[in-house]
Amino acid sequence: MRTLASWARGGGRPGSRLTLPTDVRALARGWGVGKRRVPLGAPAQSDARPTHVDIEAPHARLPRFDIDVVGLELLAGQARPVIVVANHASGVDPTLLGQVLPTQWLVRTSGATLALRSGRSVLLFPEGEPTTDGTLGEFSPRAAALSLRHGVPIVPVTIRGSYGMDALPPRTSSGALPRVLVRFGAPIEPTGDNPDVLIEIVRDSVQALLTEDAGNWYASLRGVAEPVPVTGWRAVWAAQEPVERPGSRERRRIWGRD
Amino acid sequence: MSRPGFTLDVDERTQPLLVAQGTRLRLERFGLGTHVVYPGDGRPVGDPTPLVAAALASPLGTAPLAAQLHAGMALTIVIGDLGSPRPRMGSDVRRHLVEQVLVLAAAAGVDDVAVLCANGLAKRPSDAELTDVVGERVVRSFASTGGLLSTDATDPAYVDLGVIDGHEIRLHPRIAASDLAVNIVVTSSWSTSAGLQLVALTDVATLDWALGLETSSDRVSAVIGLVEASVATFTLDAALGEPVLPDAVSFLGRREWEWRVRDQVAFATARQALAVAPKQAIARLFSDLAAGYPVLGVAGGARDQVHASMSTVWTNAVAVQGPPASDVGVVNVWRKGSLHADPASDPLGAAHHAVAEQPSLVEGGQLVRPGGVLVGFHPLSNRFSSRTNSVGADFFAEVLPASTDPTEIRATFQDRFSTDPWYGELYRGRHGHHPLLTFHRWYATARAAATYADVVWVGADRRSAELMGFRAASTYADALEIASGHVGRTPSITVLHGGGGSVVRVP
Repeated sequence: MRTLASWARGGGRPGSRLTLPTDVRALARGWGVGKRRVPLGAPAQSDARPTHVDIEAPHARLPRFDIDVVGLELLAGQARPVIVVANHASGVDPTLLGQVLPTQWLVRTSGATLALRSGRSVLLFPEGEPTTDGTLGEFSPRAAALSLRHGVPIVPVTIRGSYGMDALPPRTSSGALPRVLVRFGAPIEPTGDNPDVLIEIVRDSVQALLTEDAGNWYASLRGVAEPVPVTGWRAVWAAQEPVERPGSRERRRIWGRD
Repeated sequence: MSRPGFTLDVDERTQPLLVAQGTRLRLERFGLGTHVVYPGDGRPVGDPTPLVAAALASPLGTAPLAAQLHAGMALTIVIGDLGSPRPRMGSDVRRHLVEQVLVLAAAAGVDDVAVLCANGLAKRPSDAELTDVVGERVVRSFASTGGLLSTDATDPAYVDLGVIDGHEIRLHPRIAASDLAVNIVVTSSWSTSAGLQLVALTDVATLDWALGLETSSDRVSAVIGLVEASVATFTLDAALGEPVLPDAVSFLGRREWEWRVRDQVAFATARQALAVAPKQAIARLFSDLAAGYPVLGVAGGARDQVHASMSTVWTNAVAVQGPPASDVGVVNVWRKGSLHADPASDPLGAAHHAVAEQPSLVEGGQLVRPGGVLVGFHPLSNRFSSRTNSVGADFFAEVLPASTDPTEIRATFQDRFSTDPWYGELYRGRHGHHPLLTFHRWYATARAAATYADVVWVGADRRSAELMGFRAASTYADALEIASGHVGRTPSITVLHGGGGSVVRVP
């Protein structure tokens, strides 16, 4: 065994826990307005000051919902205003989305034309009314027309887990809040000049997100995913299925011990 | 326009400069003539999708990936080193890389797909960690079909690959059975590469042989060559620029004389918060901290050509012209080093980063001359995660009191630790690091430390420093006082500002 110095004890303590008063005085002395001194060898100051804006909200939580948000990474660097287009699963969707949309988008739900002109984003529900049978309805071309007129992309979004809710669910002390999954898709740039054509592309994209959401992304790419039921009781049944936590083990443990 | 890094020579006009010490921040006044190496400004973070698509369509040294994919094949996508970079990426570029590969695979009709994390001796990732890196879509797609895998280097099911110098090399069975392995890496330092990621697919005995006490570039190259001879590979590599921090802590990436009032307030507030917050809150703060990383370039194709290309791109982007080798080198340890979320813990990790890793990021010479002194800022708190790094605590308590010499440690302790069933259980099923990782990192630390006359830690726990064969000083001035016995009282000093990560070009 080594013989360690018997006096080698202590240290590693960071010093005073109250640093604010000292720092305020030191900064005022050293860097007060008008007193800042630049070292002689320092390069010229630059106005370029990029900072990272974390656009992710992987697990937003409203008091009465347990919301998971996925797909925001597809919108990294999206600095322009956008038109957010979502399926209308329930009457609470505007409240839900209002909580999870990136704040830097400055989203409005009314006054779309004025909002887009002033650099704000807009949230629209092209189906008009919440679905009554769990299926995706026809889309009004208004979102596409706005996109073409203002040259802003459309971001498709799907909401799953809120079907049939006309009002916010009651608060519960049991901890079992309704789970909602909000999925963002890749932005769709305005192309062509026919809003009817563009809105069909958007609708297909929303439908594809719903299909992916209900099953398996890679399978939907391969074209072998089970289609989401579009009619009858099965559509309603599918719309009411509980939402899994994204990337969860609820289907199968990833590192299951054999 | 982003400015490149530069070296400041401290003069009378230079105020105290920011120093990070584990989880603590302070302002330190450096002596006149001290060279302080600053990294470049951050660049805006854009959309890497077009770069990835171009790399896949026009690869280096191979056919386009789409041409190599076909129905009926077994495809494995390999990712690794999920602990890098630090701070973690806010939007991990590997998601884009993996998803674009999968889009091509789907179009080609490939059904047999696996995503394999080549963690080697590092801990197997949790669901959340894997989701952070490859994204929820990929995890959902493959978790339920058994297509999400990680490596257990102790698994007896590994397949015999061949023999090198009498040593048997064994490979993960999924890779051995694959028609094509797409190797996805990010270049953010010199310590990770696509080649090392292939080595991480081998068994524990091979990892010890190639990366342990007698590691050499020849052994590593031989293993890589054998793996590549056994399975076709396509490498996809993204070079990352300097991290761009969130606005609340952006002062960490700005030059002190350019701090605005809000930066000064942010510094004072952050310093106070870190001084009083509980350790668990601080650990959560650092693990949640995410940065944006601009993608400098993406290359795909043959591993050696891709690595050469992206390594050059990365090095040229982050290189800073520095001074000749100094008598004293000064390193901050905060965002890198620890195997845990809490940067103030894991003294072995802090030592490995400051002594072995950071000073090696030098081109054309050395940061510190042989016989010089290295000064590190870190508390060296004797704290280790009992779940992910319990071997670190035992290494500190049992191995280092006996010896710091790598040869003695290898002969006396390594085999016992590496075959201990408890550590094996933690590694295989509880997201713990394999004990050999701690041993290998110590060997590298000890080898690097031997080139210095002394290593002195400012503000460090004296017992921890003593155990590792280093010195502790209460203040920076005291550290230089200790160093003066080796380098005199007017040494040349080079400080690596911030958490390091730049490449220093010395004349």
